[in-house]
Amino acid sequence: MRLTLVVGIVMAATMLQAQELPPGPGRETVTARCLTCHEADLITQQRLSRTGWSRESDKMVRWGAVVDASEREPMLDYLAAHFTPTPVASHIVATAGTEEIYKRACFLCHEDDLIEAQRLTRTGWTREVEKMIRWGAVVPEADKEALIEYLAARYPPR
Amino acid sequence: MRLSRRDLLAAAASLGAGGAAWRLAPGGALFAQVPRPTVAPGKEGLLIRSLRPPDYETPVALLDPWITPVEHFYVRSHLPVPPSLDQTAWTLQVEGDVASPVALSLDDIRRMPATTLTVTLECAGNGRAFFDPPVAGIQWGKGAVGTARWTGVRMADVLKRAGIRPTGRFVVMNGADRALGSMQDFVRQVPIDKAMHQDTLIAYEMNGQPLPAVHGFPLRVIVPGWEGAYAMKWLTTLRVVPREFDGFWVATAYRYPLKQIAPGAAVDAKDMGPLTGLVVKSLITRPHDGSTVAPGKIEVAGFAWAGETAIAKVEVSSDNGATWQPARLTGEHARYTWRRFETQVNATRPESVLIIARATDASGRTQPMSPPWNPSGYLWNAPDSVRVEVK
Repeated sequence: MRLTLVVGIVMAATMLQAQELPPGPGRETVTARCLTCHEADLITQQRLSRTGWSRESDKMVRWGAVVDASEREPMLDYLAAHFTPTPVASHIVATAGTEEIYKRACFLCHEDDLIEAQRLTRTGWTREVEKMIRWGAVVPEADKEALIEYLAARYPPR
Repeated sequence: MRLSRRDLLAAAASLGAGGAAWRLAPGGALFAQVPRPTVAPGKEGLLIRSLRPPDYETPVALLDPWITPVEHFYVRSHLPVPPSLDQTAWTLQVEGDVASPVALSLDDIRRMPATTLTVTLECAGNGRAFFDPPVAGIQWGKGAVGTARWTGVRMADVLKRAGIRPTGRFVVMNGADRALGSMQDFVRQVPIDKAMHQDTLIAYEMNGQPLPAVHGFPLRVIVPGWEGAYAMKWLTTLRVVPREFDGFWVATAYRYPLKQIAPGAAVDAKDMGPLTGLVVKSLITRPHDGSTVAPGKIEVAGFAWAGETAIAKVEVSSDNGATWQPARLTGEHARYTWRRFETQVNATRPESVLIIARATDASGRTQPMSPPWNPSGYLWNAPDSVRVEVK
């Protein structure tokens, strides 16, 4: 229902408010090429596909932004990775071993399609993981938080 | 950016003029990233959507009065506030398809007959953040809207001073803001009939005070009932032209699909037309979203508006839209201005209640359950809702 979606988006938009550019390859290009004319806030509040970012980048180049050919693709990768319709927390993706924890915990009983279809908040994922543990999933206490983080980062609400 | 030294100085000066906090970073890098100020000076309590150029949104809690105080009025700027706003040297040029071009000083304008109109101004992109799939632009929530008393002269009176030729069909409006890089200057056009309408103003006061810099000091246009981007700030030129202006801000921006399209679809330029009047819309200002209320009757109030059209009715639901009850239309009433609505809903037991408001205007338009997706995310007008916890 769109009305509940609206509330979620407003919350997300408010949280993005104070956000600065996250670290990663491409950040320096964005800082040098974009922040001469506007602040990072204008970028961090957007939620665009890679095609959307490509279109915005082309518009800004038409308006005078200088982006070298070699900078363009990495910059688009950076923008599309961080400021996307369904954000992925990049620091989680890089955490070693979480993929293994995830596979061990979940794939004994079902496939990943069941997981990928979900769109839950962190609280929602905590509830699901705890339910699955009650139903027999083997998740050592030391791995539980990492698993929840992994799921919450990959499959957040739309 | 390919910026000249003059551009840089102008942009830097405008940050000072606009009152935004900025400072030179170590090493003298003029535009190095600086920590964000949490508030915009003179605009305390507003949400900063963009610090530079200044784009500030009003939280719904501050939109309860019929007249929005200047310090709570939202700010939309495409470009930085002009660095120099010298009222003694200011002239408004009227040129183009006219019998005799004129240049009016502010004194000339203040000597003309004055008119005051109360007008609700709303950014076309208000609510953009709610479109799915998301679209690029300032991610406005609910608060790029406000109502003020605008005092100034009729644009028609100014145009008549120069005498419009019969070939003149549009008025191209320009302000003192300057484009950055190779961006096009921010220019808008209004068709001659609307420009000559008795309610279209060139304002110099807002709520009885001189216009503040961020709101267009010393002159701004008010095109009542039309989306906010017609309200050109820092107005310097009115140019009467025989055919449509072909620049970006008229020919490409502020356009809307002429037919329904699939969300996310690209639209051919020939299938887009200019935005004009605002659509029917409501905003619940009481109770606040997320608040806790005692069991009993909940006072519900807010505003409804529909651009050039009057509001006919507002209905409120407290059962997720299954049933609706009429709200009273109360308070002051003026054309082009939002109308207060009030009602009470019953919430006798502790539970979480979604309160929804839905407005209908005098032409029969009702807020749609799902506003049409469009490439720039304009005219979001789904029924408004707030959720309260009854405890």
